[in-house]
Amino acid sequence: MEEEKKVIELKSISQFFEMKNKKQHVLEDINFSISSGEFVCIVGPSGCGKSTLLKIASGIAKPTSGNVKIGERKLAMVFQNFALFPWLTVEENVAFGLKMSGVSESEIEKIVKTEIKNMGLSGVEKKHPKELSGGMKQRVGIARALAVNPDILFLDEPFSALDIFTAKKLRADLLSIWRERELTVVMVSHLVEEAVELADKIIVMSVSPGKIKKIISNNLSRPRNLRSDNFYRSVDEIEAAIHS
Amino acid sequence: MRYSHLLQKSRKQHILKYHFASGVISWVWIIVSFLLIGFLFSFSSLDLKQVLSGFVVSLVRTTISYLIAVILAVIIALAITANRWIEAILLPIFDVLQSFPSFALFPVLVVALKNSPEMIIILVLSVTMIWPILFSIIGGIKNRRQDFEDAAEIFGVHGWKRFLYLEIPELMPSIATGSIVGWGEGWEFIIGAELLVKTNIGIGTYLGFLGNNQENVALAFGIIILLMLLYIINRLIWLPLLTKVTSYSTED
Repeated sequence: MEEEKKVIELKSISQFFEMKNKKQHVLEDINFSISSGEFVCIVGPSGCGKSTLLKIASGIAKPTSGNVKIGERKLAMVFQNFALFPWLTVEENVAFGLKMSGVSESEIEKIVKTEIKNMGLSGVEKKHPKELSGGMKQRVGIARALAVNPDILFLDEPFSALDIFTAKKLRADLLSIWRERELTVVMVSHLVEEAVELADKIIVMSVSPGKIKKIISNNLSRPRNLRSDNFYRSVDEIEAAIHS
Repeated sequence: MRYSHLLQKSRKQHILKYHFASGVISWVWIIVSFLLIGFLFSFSSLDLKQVLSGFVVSLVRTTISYLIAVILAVIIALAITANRWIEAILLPIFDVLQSFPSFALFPVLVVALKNSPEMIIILVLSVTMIWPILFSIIGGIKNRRQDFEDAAEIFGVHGWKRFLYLEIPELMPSIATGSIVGWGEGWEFIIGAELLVKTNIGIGTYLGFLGNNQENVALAFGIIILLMLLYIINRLIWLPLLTKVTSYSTED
């Protein structure tokens, strides 16, 4: 039963790059699995290979050794610097994934319209990304990802290029999207508070080489009170795990 | 919030005014160019038919050569940067080849293709035009954004779709920049190439004819008219293209 619920399984993942004939270990012996509908955050210091691990888990990058089981699931990703194609308008960016997978024009139009409305992007459909603020750009990034109706949504530090107020609003939006669409979410973050606010499970990594130090279940009840003692206790526990 | 909205609005109006002004100036220059061309014709012994037909033929030769150069440049740039070993071997070779004078190919081509003057001109022109375009595209490839590649990958964009929907639009700014330089060099070379190959028609052929007959005033006017026509092409085609593609080149 437990086996069936697993949507991603990483076994003995290692990754190294060769630089100037020297092997540089980025990830070493990574093992974890993610269940359907779980919200998982990967945290750790800079350079611990969080983003590389996310790319491997999503199938964008291949590990040097080990294997990733993800099955025939629809995937989408939201990027730190938005990765919106600057030559396309907002609606064309949102339609990109659908167009590439051969969805009919009428269907694309319908889905794009809905996603644009849901993400609060009405009125900017014809604009190009450079005409938008950071927050709006990331809304387009999220709409583009959701348009393909993914089973698993990967997010690579999606709020770190935004100001704190926009980030706070988008975190709340992400939580409602996760709940409403019953998505599985895997997110990389360098902010422990962000991970504790959002995730069910927090994967703490160490640096050089990137290894999993601890996997912590975050059982705080939702909606989470970001000023409660329990919240701060969880933050302290994870920070202690990072620095231990 | 209100203040930033106003600021944005005033910035927009400023940009609109700027575009309007630069558009008006462009058209004024184009009209002035045409008037000057007419003026030069009426005050010289230039043959209108010879100049215009010569220019059109040279334009067709340059355009064909440019299309060959740009297609080859895109294919070569993508092929050599796909593998770092091939790149390490071929890039220094191309670096040497680009400084090789195209006119030095003439004796070889004349022997090899003696009955096809058009082929000789087009080949020499393509070889001349390809280098700035190729190196500009290679530069563009080096500056590609990794997250664009990742976004395309997660949406399963591979093969020709990747080429058409990611690589070409992403490389458009470098293709356009290289093309403008290559196009300019092409015009520099076509005059010489037409003189050397001795074609029956072409702007270079006609200017050479005027020079040989010591019609110096007509020759000078002919050169000015050629520059005006090239300026008009630049204003109407290349500059708008460059403005469009570079407007999205630096950031999203």
